[in-house]
Amino acid sequence: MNVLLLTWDYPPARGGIQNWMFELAHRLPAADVTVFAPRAGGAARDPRSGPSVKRLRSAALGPGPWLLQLSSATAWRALTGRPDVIVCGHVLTAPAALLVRRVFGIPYVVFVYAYEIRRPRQQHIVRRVLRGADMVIACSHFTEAAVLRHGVAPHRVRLLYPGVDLARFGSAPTGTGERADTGTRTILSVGRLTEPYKGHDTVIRALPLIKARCASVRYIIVGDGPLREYLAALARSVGAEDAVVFAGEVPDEQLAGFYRACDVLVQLSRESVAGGGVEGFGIVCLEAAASGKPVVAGRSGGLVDAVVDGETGILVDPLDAGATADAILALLQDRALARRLGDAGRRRVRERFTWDRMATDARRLFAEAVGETWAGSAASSS
Amino acid sequence: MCGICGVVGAVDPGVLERMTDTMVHRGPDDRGLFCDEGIGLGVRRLSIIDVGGGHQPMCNEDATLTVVFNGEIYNYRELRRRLEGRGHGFATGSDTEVLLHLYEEYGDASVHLLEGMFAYALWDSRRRRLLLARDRLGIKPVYYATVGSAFLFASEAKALFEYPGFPAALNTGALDLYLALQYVPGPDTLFRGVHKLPPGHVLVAAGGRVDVRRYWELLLGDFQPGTTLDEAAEEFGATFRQAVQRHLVSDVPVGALLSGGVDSSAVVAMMARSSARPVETFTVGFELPGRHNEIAEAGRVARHFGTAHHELLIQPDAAGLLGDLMWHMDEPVADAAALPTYLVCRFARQVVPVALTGEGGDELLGGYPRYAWFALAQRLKRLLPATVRERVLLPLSRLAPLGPRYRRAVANLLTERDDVARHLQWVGALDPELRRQVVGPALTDAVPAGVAETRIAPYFAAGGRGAPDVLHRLMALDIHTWLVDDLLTKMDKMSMAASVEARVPFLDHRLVEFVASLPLRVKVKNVGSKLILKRAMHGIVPRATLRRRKHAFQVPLDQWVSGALRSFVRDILLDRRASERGWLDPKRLETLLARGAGRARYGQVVWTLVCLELWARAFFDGDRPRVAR
Repeated sequence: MNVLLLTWDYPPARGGIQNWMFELAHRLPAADVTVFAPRAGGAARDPRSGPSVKRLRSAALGPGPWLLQLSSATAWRALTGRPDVIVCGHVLTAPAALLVRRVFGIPYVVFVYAYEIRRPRQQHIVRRVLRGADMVIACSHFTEAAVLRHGVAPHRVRLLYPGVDLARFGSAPTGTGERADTGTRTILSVGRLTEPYKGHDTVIRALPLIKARCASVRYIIVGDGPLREYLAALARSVGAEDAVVFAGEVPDEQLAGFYRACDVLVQLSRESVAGGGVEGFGIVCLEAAASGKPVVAGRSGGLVDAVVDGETGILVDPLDAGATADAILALLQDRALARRLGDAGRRRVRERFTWDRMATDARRLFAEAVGETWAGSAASSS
Repeated sequence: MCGICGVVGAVDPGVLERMTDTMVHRGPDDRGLFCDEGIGLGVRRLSIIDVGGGHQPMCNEDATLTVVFNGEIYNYRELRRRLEGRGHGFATGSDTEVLLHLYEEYGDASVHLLEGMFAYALWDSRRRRLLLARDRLGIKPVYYATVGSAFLFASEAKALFEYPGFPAALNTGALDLYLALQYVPGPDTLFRGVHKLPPGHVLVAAGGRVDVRRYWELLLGDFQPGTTLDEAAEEFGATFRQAVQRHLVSDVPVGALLSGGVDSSAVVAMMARSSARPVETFTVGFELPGRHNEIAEAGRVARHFGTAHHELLIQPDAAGLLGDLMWHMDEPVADAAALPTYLVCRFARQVVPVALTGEGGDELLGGYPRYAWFALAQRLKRLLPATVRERVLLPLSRLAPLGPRYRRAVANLLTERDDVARHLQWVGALDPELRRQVVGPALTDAVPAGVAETRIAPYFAAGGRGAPDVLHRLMALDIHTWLVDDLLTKMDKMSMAASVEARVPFLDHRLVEFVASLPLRVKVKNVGSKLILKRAMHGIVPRATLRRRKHAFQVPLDQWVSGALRSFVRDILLDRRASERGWLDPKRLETLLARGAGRARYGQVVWTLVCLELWARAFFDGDRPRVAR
């Protein structure tokens, strides 16, 4: 089967979706896949092995012009290459696929995450490209429900979870995050500091309560962005500035070290009432779990799929600083509990959230969308 | 709602009893005292939650902790559930008991978990220390003083003066602040030796030391760039609805004070949505034709929401109550709205012991026109040289057919002056010159000048405690001073004088934090806009109400002072007692009253001086009230 993957998010740009699309493209038979991606920086030189990647230059002018170029490139490809299915890595690229479907009858599949279909802007376009798709692939139950609310027929909606790179994050856990010299315990969050819904503020508000029962604790924030200044001021305002460490952006190769060095990962994203901000899945929860660490997560969005409450972590109301403090304290103070949840999380990731498993499922779904079975079996996947 | 007080140090039960009973109006339902070695706590209680079982002072199971509490914890049921989940047993259904168990769990940090308005004192007998906490925005008051080796605190300053050897005395160092601002911003008071615990702070008294520290601060600034007005309004609407709902927690009936403005109408709208029965609403208006008549406006809103509406008409002779009200106010706050506030509360008390109000909406949402005027003045200052503004535009503006208020606004806009002076000219009572002149012979050497300017300056200084842009700075200044020490002090003292608990849903701290983090362009656009609230209430509150200019229980001061109350004012200010006291210069006062009527803010200036004199009579001449019900 011949797959054309249209994606705005692709390495070298960093992020969860970028990573997912890369893994997907590389785990399908190389001869069957073509990727249309934006041209990004001078450093982008795609390897000769693996799928063929066509970089569209107009990305520098913004998503609008890029989409125009993408549409014409996709149409040309439809004429010359006759792909069996077009896979849109993001709703943003789906108009191109919709157009080609109208003209050439080539089926298309759309990946959806959360924010992009929840935000109030351009709802009518989102609705049209989702309803026009042969299959919509949601990354969590939460996103699946959001897709159904757009009026997409339930039999066209499928669930597909992302995976975790076990080579990077899956090495055996090295004890707790406690520092041998000081006995300081470590709470970790990983994520961009761009949107308030990510919930770092609730963790900071919980710190005075945590310190009341566990005096020596630090909260390491990996990631950077415009909210950093606000979070620093917030920490000062509640008298917790000495417990907060802003680690800034951390290169991929060092990230695993941060997971290994923490006691608990906290990911408290909430569903903002307006603007659509929400966590579609919460891949960092799985990365921490792969490192054998327990997770405290907000009971919101796709985080409910990423963390099994009471088994691999603890789910709390992401606006409730008190509940957050209690959950974190439970894991800091009860080492057996922390180990049990961490181990269970690690097992769950190994069983359920590998990229190979994702790729196998994706192939099955693509074939289902086209209405045929994939010629050549899973054996050809890498 | 209650009045609390206490002493760390030597205390006689009789003294504690007298201290407590100065605040009988704050809690007519119940009295409680706790006396142990080196500690005394007293409380007057107005029963709102767990009417039968909430007796205070309240102890934990092994009687090592004792608490007295004034206020409401709106999330006490959630906190209680969580504490029960952690094995804490509860003996009552009151919110007070939650404080004890929270302290057992989290110590001083428990204050971070409280949502609502509160002032409480918790005695830890094992560590022999007192924890005193005040809510984030200062809705409930706490005064304190150190007398010898004793530490005293109370909800009202007057309770402190029942302690032996601590009579009320004038704090001359704060008189300039009062004359400039018409109230004294904390932590100072106009009483010597008495301080206010600032909002968002806790105080620990132990081992002869007093330690005050902050646990919360409002962060004002554009922390959510890119938020559109629609998004902000949607989230604001949802948060505001929840806030009002939380403020309805009560075991007794809850009503609302309705002024006919946007803020109180929005509160009533949200109440009407959450209540199956008609909301009880109360309004007051003045016996004057024209713009001050709030009654018609409030009536329209009441009809729209089908409330059980009650109206009261006020005559100028209500000013006769002013002396009593200054006693209740504790510190002189020359806010003429105190009068209607007290009267509407007394009126409401016949039906409900608890009332929601729209207080705080203006500070939260940037509703004051002077914010926009101030920003405009700064822009003009950058664009045009001083000579053009003062020599050309200012004379030209005098030719324009403007009313006196706009004339003053335009003059302020065009005159060359620094930010501090400009701000004081907008909000202040007496200008610097008049402040210097009016202070009497007994005090001229003791009253330092320019204290008000020094106090305000840090908000405008670069790198000061304010936000980067001037509008956020002005809002921060208002929230830290005017809101706490005028508006909320007035609301608390006047409602308590009538034994009514006033609740202020606009000051729900989550709502406040959310709005504070929004970009300015969705908050303030043009003059006095309150964009977010109006957008959120579109289609809910009547359109005509949303379009109205602001007037919240505004008193026709200028008309009163030069008309119906002319002789009332003269009798007070030119009285023999006033001149013997010597605080104010009688000759200056005479000139002011005879020829001052044309000057800017004349009504407010006179009112400020009248309130000062009446306050002095109440606290230094023993004019005790025959108030209040």
